[in-house]
Amino acid sequence: MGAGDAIRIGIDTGGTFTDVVLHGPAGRVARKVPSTPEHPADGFLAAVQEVGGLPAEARLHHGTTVGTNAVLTRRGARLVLVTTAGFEDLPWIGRGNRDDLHALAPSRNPPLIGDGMSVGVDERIDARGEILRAPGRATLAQVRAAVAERDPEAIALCLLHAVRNDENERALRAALQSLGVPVHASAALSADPREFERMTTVMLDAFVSPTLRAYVAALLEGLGGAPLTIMRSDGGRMAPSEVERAPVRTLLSGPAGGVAAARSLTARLGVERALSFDVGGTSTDVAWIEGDDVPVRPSLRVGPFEAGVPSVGLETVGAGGGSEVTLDTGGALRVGPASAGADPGPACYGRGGPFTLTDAWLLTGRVPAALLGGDFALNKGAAREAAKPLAAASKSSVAALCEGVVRVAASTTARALRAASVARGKDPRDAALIAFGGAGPVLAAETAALLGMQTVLVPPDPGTFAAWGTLLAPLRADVSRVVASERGLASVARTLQTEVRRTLEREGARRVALRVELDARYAGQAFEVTLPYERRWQSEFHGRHAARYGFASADRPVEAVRLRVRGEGWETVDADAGVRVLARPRFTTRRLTRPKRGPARLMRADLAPGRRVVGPVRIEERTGTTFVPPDWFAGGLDDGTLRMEPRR
Amino acid sequence: MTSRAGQAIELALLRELLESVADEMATVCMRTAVSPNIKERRDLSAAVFDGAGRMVAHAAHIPVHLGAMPLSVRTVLGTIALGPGDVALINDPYAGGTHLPDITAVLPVFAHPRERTPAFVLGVRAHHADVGGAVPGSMAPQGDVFAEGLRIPPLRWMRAGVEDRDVTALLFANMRDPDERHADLAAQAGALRRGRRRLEHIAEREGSLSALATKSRVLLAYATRIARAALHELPDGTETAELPLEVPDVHGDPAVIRLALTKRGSRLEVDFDGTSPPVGLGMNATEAVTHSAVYYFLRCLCPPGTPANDGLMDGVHVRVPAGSLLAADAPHPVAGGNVETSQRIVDALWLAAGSLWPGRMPAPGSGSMSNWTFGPVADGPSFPTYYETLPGGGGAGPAWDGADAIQQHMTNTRSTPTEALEARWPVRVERMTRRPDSGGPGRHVGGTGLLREIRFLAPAQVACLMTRHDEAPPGVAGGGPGARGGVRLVRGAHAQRLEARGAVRLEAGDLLRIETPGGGGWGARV
Repeated sequence: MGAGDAIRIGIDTGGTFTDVVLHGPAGRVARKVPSTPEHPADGFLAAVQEVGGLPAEARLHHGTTVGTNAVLTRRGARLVLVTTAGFEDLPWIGRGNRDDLHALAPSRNPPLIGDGMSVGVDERIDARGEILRAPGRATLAQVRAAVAERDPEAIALCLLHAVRNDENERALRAALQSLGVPVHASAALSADPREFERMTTVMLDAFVSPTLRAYVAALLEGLGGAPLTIMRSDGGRMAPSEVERAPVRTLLSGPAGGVAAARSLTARLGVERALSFDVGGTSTDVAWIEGDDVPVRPSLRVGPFEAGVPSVGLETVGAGGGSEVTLDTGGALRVGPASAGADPGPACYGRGGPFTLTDAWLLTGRVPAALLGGDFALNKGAAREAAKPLAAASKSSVAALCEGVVRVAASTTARALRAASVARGKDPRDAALIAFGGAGPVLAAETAALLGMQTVLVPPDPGTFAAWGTLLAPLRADVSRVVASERGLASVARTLQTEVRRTLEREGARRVALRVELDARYAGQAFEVTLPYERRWQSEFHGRHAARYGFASADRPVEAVRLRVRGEGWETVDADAGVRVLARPRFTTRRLTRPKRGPARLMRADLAPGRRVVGPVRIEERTGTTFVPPDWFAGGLDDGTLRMEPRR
Repeated sequence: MTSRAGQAIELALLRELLESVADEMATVCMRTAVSPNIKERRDLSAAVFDGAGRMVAHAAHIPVHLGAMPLSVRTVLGTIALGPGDVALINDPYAGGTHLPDITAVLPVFAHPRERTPAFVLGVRAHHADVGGAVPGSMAPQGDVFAEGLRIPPLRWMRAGVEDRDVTALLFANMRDPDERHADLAAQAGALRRGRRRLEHIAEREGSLSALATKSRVLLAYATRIARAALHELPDGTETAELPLEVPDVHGDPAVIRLALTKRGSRLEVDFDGTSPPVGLGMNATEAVTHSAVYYFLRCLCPPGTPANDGLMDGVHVRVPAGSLLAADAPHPVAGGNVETSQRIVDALWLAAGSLWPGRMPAPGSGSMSNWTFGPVADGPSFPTYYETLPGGGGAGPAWDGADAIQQHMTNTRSTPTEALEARWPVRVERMTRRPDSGGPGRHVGGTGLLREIRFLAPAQVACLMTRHDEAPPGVAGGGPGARGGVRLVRGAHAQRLEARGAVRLEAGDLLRIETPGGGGWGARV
């Protein structure tokens, strides 16, 4: 973080807690306050108060779950979908597949619109973008009446082949604008050339639109004009005006904050390759980070929906601290996917919850009997009672059961690490594991060991790391355009670059980095390859095609299909060099006294930089606990990061 | 730690490890394949076997591959002495195959290079868009297997990691779109190599590959326990079912599938005695397909998260009369057995189980995958062969309506997006909607079929392989049948009904209207 910065406040709203981090000349403060799901703006403003209110010239960065929750609880706008005539039923047909292969009754996720809320338009564009039929004035009037009759709160527009040519979508949008509700068009949002996926995207966008507009308006009013940016699904930030244009881009922005923070940590420590390991109550999110690059995938999964907007390439498994432990009918131990949630929570919360991974951690001494610096007491007796039936069923002691639960949890979360690394041809043994979230640092070393990983890094305040990430994420903007021919490619690229640069500068960026990419294909092919746009892009294309599809045809004509410009911007002029900490310092070992049972204990603040301890030891701090297994070291780095590695 | 607790943990850990190998192979194959059928529609599966060819872990995508792949792999192991790095291919329907387009690639994994028996065997099966034969797509109804396409007995394709060019030349000289075929097979081989690397990596931690192989067998007993517990909960008894196949058998009599389903304690017996002899037009099922259908039925009775391995069928006895249409022998044609007759077997199991456990089972659904293909004609423009299966109505259940236009039972492929279809093939999709009023009536209504209209912009050879055009999907417990399916060719003002199983040439400007069947209703209407 550059010196002389104004105060910045990052706020990450989760289901149970709202995390807030303030960073200013006087240092850093991290806190948690309860979330207020019914009136989310209240929790946000309370979080601002928690760190001392709003100083002059403060900037606020925010990761929100308002959109995600609206989708998951299906509480959003009453929607009308407008689409090409003959395809009105597409939301109910999808790709034709069922969700569960072996359910006695096949079923699929119901769409976000109600019966009869889909309106067909007499128009057609072909696969090359030629307009076969444009909607005439009479058609537009007819569609407008049909939409008005359904009294929507938001309108989603998705026409076939709109990514090749969006003229018909724009004509319809203009005709529907006067109905006075938000109109969201597919091609303006997504370049995905698959109509069902793009339709899902624009329906999600419209569905969350009124809710997010109201939310952002309430925040801006409460902040009285202080500059605010919102986290996007792809790990960047955007201005509130952009939220209004494409609210779907706020979905799953919480996990994206964690990855942004992890990326910044690797840059600071000079770590080449890393896996971020974000373990919460119900799930584990993992991303591969290489150099300055975080994988961004072209789609985003929220509950049962898949949206065609870029998102941080996270791999997720349904196992976290609150995951229930069960014994299946074949006698195998399972951790998750069912979760105790926030209420009743794990058995040790003392509210009648089931036996969970957290209970096993508590009973093995991996977490202390009180969390949040003593504010949140855990009940060991309740945890042990909940474990007994399972222990009896597997004819084992509670202690043996708990050790087994920890091993199974590590192996289950390792699945996400494998999906993010080996499944993409990356070797996890070359990577550091960056552990955060409430439960990540408890599980990290034992999971890393399964994959042969040699380094685990735990940042300070791991429980509020995602909020910290909102302070480190760049502003981001992107735009893409279908190009008809190679002629004029360079000038289109220049136009788009100017457009992105201006957007970012309008949002407050003083430093901008742009990347120009091209989607190209062999003439007649349906699938495109994305490559950096430079002068010799044709020859680059053949190489990339061979790498991806196993063959190239050097004599076949190549056509450019789409230009994309992605931009990142920062409000400060200086690069975020920070302190570059020696990644492999020499530590001196500090001896700890071990209790008769369980691991030794240490407060994190008591582990000075350059000192290390030998496991088993539990390192406690306000927003998280780190468990150092036997045969592992944990040492303090200069920036407060904890580094764990196995003893050789 | 006592042994039971040790086992509960061991089972969970082993399962996770071996399933991660199968998953990774499937992911690699899907990512690196070229044809939309594998890449987009995901018509593939991957599995890990022990050295004896018993399946210990499976990445589930396509149910019909589940019970069939082990037979193919065992045939390979019994025929060829595979060495390290060798990859064998097989699609022989009479030796564990399903139908010709499903090609299985097999790679052994050895603990030591000098050993003769592998510790593990890996398999990846994928549906190829064409394997030769009389009609593009290799799925058109034919008189015998020779007209259906190229039959590949167990064949060594790679020796010590190097492709045998003679074999490659022979294979691809007999298939359409050889570049695409080659790339798809290379994707299968790449997936197998990735699987081997993962297994070897796991073995480094677990001691050795042979130790891991020995341990992996506890997963078979584990699946057996789950299946037996699920069966144990259900009432005992015997019920029968009989369904027509809508085609004549070799003697000219209407072909039927007959079965008796017996459940006693934690065991299940399925006896297909009384089923007709083979039929023409590709509607014969191989014994592997018949086993797969029973396997699928059993798996549906088990709880969510049940592992897919060979132990599951341990308490199940399947009797298929030799030489019947459910255990076809050479050279009876089989293209449709895998995709149509397999659905009818499941329907029959559904009906018998519905009588045995009335509160549990839904009515049969559309019962047809509504397969069709199209490809270029000799005097028209060239384009790749296209194949798809279409969803139909789901059967209604004792407490729910059937789902609309949904893939059922032995398949779960995704439809090709219209935008991708039109970008690559000379067609325009004019309609794709739910088919009104096609679900079977009843207290709970069956799901609707699909209505799909496709305009051809160039001449094309079209082949259909469908059922339920003559016999409607039955309702149960007093519910009415779903609507029958149909295909029409609309040329100008003239509409002509096409055969459910046949091939026809279309001209530019022709419209094909396909209606898939609805699902059966449940219970009398009140």
